[in-house]
Order: sequence, then C-alpha cells, then structure tokens
Amino acid sequence: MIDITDLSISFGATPAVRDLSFSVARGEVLGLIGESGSGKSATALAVMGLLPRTASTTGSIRLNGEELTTAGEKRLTALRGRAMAIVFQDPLQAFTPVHRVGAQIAEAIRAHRRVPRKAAARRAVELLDLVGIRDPHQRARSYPHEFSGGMRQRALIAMAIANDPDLLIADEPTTALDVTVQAHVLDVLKTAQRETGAALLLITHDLSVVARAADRVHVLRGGLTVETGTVEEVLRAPREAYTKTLIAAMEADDRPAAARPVRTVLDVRDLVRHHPGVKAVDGVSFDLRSGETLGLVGESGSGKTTLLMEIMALARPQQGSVTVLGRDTARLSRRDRRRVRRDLQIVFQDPSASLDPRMTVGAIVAEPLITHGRSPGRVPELLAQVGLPVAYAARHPVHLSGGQRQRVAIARAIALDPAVLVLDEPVSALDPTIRAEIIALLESLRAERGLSYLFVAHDLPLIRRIADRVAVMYRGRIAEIGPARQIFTAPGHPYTKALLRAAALRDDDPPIATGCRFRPRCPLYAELPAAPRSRCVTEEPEISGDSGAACHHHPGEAP
Amino acid sequence: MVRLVNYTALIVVASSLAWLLAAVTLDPRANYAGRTPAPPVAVVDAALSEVNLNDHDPLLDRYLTWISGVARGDFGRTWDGLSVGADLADRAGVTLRLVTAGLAVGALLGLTVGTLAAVHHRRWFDRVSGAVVFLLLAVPAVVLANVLILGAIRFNDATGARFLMVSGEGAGGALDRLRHLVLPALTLALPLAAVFSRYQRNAMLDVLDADYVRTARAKGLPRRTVIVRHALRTALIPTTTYLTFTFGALLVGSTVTETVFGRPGLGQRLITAIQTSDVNTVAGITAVAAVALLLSAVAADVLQRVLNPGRAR
Repeated sequence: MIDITDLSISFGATPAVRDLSFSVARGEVLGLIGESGSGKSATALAVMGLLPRTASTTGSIRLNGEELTTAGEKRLTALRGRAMAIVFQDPLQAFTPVHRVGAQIAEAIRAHRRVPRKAAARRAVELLDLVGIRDPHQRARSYPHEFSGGMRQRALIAMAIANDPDLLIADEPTTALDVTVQAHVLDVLKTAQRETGAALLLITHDLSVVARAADRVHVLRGGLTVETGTVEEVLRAPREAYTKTLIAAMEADDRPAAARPVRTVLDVRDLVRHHPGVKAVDGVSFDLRSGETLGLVGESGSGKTTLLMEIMALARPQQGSVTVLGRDTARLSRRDRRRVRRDLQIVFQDPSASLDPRMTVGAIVAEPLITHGRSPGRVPELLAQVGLPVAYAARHPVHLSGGQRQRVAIARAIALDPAVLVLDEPVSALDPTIRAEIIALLESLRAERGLSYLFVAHDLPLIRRIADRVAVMYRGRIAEIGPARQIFTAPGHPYTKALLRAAALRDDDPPIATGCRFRPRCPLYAELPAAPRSRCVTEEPEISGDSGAACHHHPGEAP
Repeated sequence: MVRLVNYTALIVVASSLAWLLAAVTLDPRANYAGRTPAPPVAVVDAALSEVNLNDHDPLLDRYLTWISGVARGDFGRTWDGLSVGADLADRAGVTLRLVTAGLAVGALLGLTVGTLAAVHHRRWFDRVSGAVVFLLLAVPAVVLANVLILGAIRFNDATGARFLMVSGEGAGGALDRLRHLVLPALTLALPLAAVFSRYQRNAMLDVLDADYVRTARAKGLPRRTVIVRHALRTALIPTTTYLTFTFGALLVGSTVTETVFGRPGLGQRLITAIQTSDVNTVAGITAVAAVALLLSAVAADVLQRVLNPGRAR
C-alpha cells in the first residue's frame, strides 16, 4: 500500500529524518514511535506532501505504486483526503473555528466527489454516528469549540475516513486526551480502519498506544531507525538499549507501603469553588502529611487545577477550609500570608510558559529570595542541587532544553525551603527519558529535604511509582482516596477501575444535579437491580476517614 | 437593549461636554467686532440672545435652552440665525457619500492586497505592495489629493472627456455626483487601503500557519478554496472590527479631503464653525460624530456575531 525507501528530510541544514524505510500493507497497523524531534511528524507530512517549503526531501514514497515525492501539487491535492488521509493531534485547532463540524466533514466529501450538498451533509452525520458521537444530527450543527477534546478527535477521524482512504495516518491521535477517552478514540480508530480496510500508520510517543493498537512497530530516534519488528518482539524482547529505556519508562513499580507520618502539613476540608454554571470543586477533603506524596489524578475538567489554585490562593474559600502548617488561610493577616507562601510553592506544567523569557536563569531563581528579603547568594547552590551547571545562571530560558527549564522551575520553587511543593503535571510536557530524570530529581529532593508533594498528573504509571497516596477526582469531588498500592491493586470505585483498565468511557454526558455524579458512565450502575439503584439516584456518596471510595456499592461499603 | 441606553447616555454626555467647552472658549461676539460702524452693544446682545449665544446670559440658562431644544430635535441656530439641524442634515449626506465610497473602495483594495501579500509572503508581490503602502502612509492627504488632481487633469486632457471633476459636490443627478466623488473618494481610500492591507496581511499570516488550514489542505481542498474559505474567512474577524470603527471616525475626519475638493461636508463645516464661534454647530457636529461612532460600535458587534458564530453568546 505505502512504501517508503531511504527517505531523508531536512529543514535547511538540519536533518529531521535520515534513510527511513518501511512499508504498510492493506489492513495493517504500523506504529511509528519516538520522542519529539525524532522525525515522526515530518515523515507524516512528507507522505501527505504538506511539508513547509523550507524542507527538502530525498528518497522515495510510493502510494499504490505511485511516486509521491515528485508528484505535482495538483495530483497531490487530488490524492489528499481521498487516497490518503491524516488525523492530526491537538484537535482544538484542527477544525476551522467559524464553520460547523458537519459542514467541514461534508466539505471533505465534496472536495473529491460530485455529490449534492444535502447528500454530503447526510453522509457527514452518518460518519459522526460511526465514530460514536451521540446525537449526530444535532452535533453536526455544532461549532468545534462546543465539542469536548475526545469528540473533536473522533470528528477528525470521521473526516479522515470520509472518502475511504487507502492509507490513514494518525499523528499522536490520543496525546491530548484523558486515559479513558484515549481508549475510546483508539477503539474508534481501529473500527474505522477495519471498515475502510485502510493501511494505518499510527504515530505516537506513547508505547502503550502502540501495544494496544499496532501490528508492527518502528522505533525512531533523532531521525534514525533504532529498531523495527512486530509489537510482541519489540515490547517483549527489545534488542536496543534505547527501546529498553522507553519500555522501562512505561512500566511501574509499587512503592513500599508504610505507616503515615504524623505531622500534617496541608489540610483541606470540604473545599468548594463554584464558578457561574460550573461546580469546579464541590466539597473536597484530604490531608497531606510531612514527607508524603499525594498523587491527584482525574480527567481534564475534573477540577484538579481549580483545586490547586484554591489552595495556592491562600485566601478564604467560598466554603470549607484550607490549613497550611496549622494555620487556617481564611484567618491570615497580609503579613502572615506572605510567610505562609514560603512554605507552599508550585511547579507548573509548561516550563517555557512559566519562566519569564527576558530574565536570566540566575535572576529567576534569585527572585523569590529577594522578594522575601533573603540573600541571593544561594543561587549557585540551588542550581547545583537541581543538577544544573552554575554557569547556566547567566543564560536565558530559551537557550535551555525543556528538561533543563523544568529544573530551573524546581530550583525556583525550592529556593525558600518550602514544606509543601505543588506539582501540576510537572513532566507531561517532557519526553519519556527526560521525564525519568526529572522524576529522579524530585525523588532525591524529597528524601533530602523532607518535602511533601501534592502531585497532579494524568500519567497513572508515573503516579503509581512516585505517590504514597492517591486521590482520584471526578467532576469536582474525590471519587476515591487511599494508599497508592491499594488504589492500584484493589480499587473500590468503578471510576477508578475504569481509569486503571484504561477502559473506554463516554465523555459527553450531561452533569448530574443530585445523587452519584458518576452514574451516567458507571458500568456498575448499569447492571444494578432497581432497588439498590435508587440510592445512587437520590443520595450523594461520601468518603469517611482518610481512605475510601465515594460509591454506595463498592465491596468495602455495607450494602 | 441595555447597551443602547448606555450608548444614548454617552452621546448626550459627549455632545453636552462639547457644547460646554465651545460655549466657554468661543466668542461669537467677535463676529460683530470688526464692523464699521460698530453696532450698539444692546443690538449685538439682542441678536446673540436671539440665537442663544449671548455670553452675558448665565451659562446654565443657555445650556438648558440648548439641551431642551436638542431633546425636541432642534439643534439651535448659527450666529447669523440659520438652523443648525437643517444645515448639518445636508452636509451629513455629502460626507456620508464620500466616506462610504472611500471606505468601501479602501476596504476592498486593502483586504485584497493584504491577503495576496500574506499568501505570497516574502515574494515580489509582498515586497512591492509593502513599499507602496509605506509610501502612501508617508504622504499627507493634501499632497495625495493634489497629485490625484494633477493626474485627473492629465487624464481629462488626454481623453478630452472632462469626466473627472476636481471641485464641488455636483447637483446634476447620480452621474454628475459620481464624477465629483471619484477623486475625493480615492484620496480617502488609498491611505485606508494601505493601513487595512497591513492589518489584513498580519491577520492572514497568523491564520495561514494554523492547524486548521493544514487540515483543510489535508482533506484535499484546492489551494484557493483553503485560502478563501478557511484562512481569509477567519482572518476577517479582527480586521472587520477595525474597519467598522474607522467608518465612525472618518465621518468628521475627512476634513482635509473635503476642503481640498471643496465639498460642503461636515469636516469642512466644523472648521468654519470654530472660526465663526458657532457653539451650536460645533456641538451638533460632535453629536453626529458620537452617533456615528456608536453606530459603528453596534455594527461591529453585529458583524462579529455574523462572522464568528462560534463565539457569539
């Protein structure tokens, strides 16, 4: 179906891909895996003929025997969307914001077939239905921003298969999505591929996606092929060291269970934060003890970020209380609030956005010290602690790699010797091997300084490895909380179970006003007889004590 | 609805302030000063009081007379006793035709040039249009107008048709009006087109790199369709707002053009009104300008809703 031989791509003098060769047959799924900068996406764009003008390619790309590298723009336009189609990542920007989703899919059909407007619109609705979008008639008339991330990704798949392409390329189709939605989208992608019999080129940096969906895998690094083979061969018995690191980064070891420390550093009780129309945080309680790591997981929109911001505000919450080192934030004077801020610091997800590009690394790390009236003389020591050469103090963030920038962000956060560090997805913007390094750094800092971490991530294996305790959030409340080992080996809440199995759950349900908010998606609720069911409808489940699941029917709960 | 009430209040405040400022600083009495023989003070007072311009009357009384007149739709009188309302209504028509024509031509030209420049980013069209734009922006309106007049005279001589007219408004039907409109409209349109084209070029450059433009190409749409239906359509959103507000600002901002081409419009009238200390005319023109600006704000809102249905709420 598609044959690539000795493909090299370079942007100016910088090579992106070197001597890449592979082929994908009809009905086959090839996983193209590698970190950012490995040349995966450049390969996809080269096949589609969508590389920017600054790129130059050599070698050969043949689709059904037809050479694409030398084909003219007119021929490529005719092939794009018909013989070969692509599903892009980041679905928020992948649809034109001012046109309805259905119209954009219909446009793809009419670009290649002379069908009446109405017929194309009908076909668009069928396609939306095929990819599992509920109410496809209604939804076809929606604008892209009215779709959730998962729905947009599915709509992109619908658009890509509109003309039964021979080759379907999916470029990081699940990266921007939550675990449960990821699973759903992968299923849809495989169904779509079966329906059309296309060859599927699946591009990802996530090994678990490849393990789940691909027949063969091709590992890329820095534009070079590292290893290739069937999924079983490569995942079970990787030949190359690089592949082994990738696999190791994916797998998890349990932390040893230990008694909880005594001293409470952060105590959150019944915290509520309602925005107009959205109950972002709706009664959350947990505590964090000295030296402990609490992992906070949940899909996007579950209220994790709002919860963190409420804690970091150190102000009087709408309802409930936040207590940092024994001090209730609602009763702090302005001066005390400044003092408490030293004890509570944060590291954000994206270090390129959270560091001021106009300041040097040294100035960034010195700023909190100066603000709180201390000497900036500790900056070299702090840089050394996060594993950065002292000479880097004179550099600007743009001259640092993503991992180095995150080290700067960590140095800034620990400059004031805080007791609690809030980590908001600190490694999800980084490549797997860099991610492992930053995690190791965080672990050693915790051991050295007795720090407590409130660690937010959607990467479950990572949480399993780093957290002592785990809280699972769902729509503004904690669905389940407890020791990490217990959560991962014997989850009590049906939502936690679904999350761990990466089971496919819908992502387009209406919010629930009373009773259990998980019940529209709950597999357990669907099977319950009528009598115990009524409790889920009328009564909101609560967690009592410091571990448990907010479910009326989990094994630990009396029936 | 709430917004309309707010806008109305704003118009009242703006014109009241303009009236007060004019009433305090301008001196209508000066119109009688140079006369020989000098008219008796009592006669001047009576004449000024007749048109509510006598600075010996209390300011508050004069203001109340003026504002209650405005409430009834009467904008007062000029110093020599003519109706401000009727005068401005005539002139507003003249200016409106000029500004509408200038803006329409300027917008079309600017959007087209800007879009093409973005599509041919850093190629000859982009460079040449960029140079022309900067030249147009650097030339003052007076110079541009006179260059156009010279050009028109050459054109008329060459064709022997005397089609393009360089002065006045024209009274002999639509064709005559058009003959008088072409040159002043171009004088307005060219600098506008220059500015619009830069806005549009930047807006287009932003969207041409967007993911959805890539998606549109990936589904096999021809390049022209991608540019018009996906890129241009989205880039119009920011440019349109700018364009609409320009309309409001131009209504009294075309003074130079009106003066050079001898068109009896609002901008020209504002200057003469200040010279003759016509407080009521100054306030009246300010009111018209405020209405125009706020109407363009409403128009901008409506256009945003039409162009950007996703964001409208």
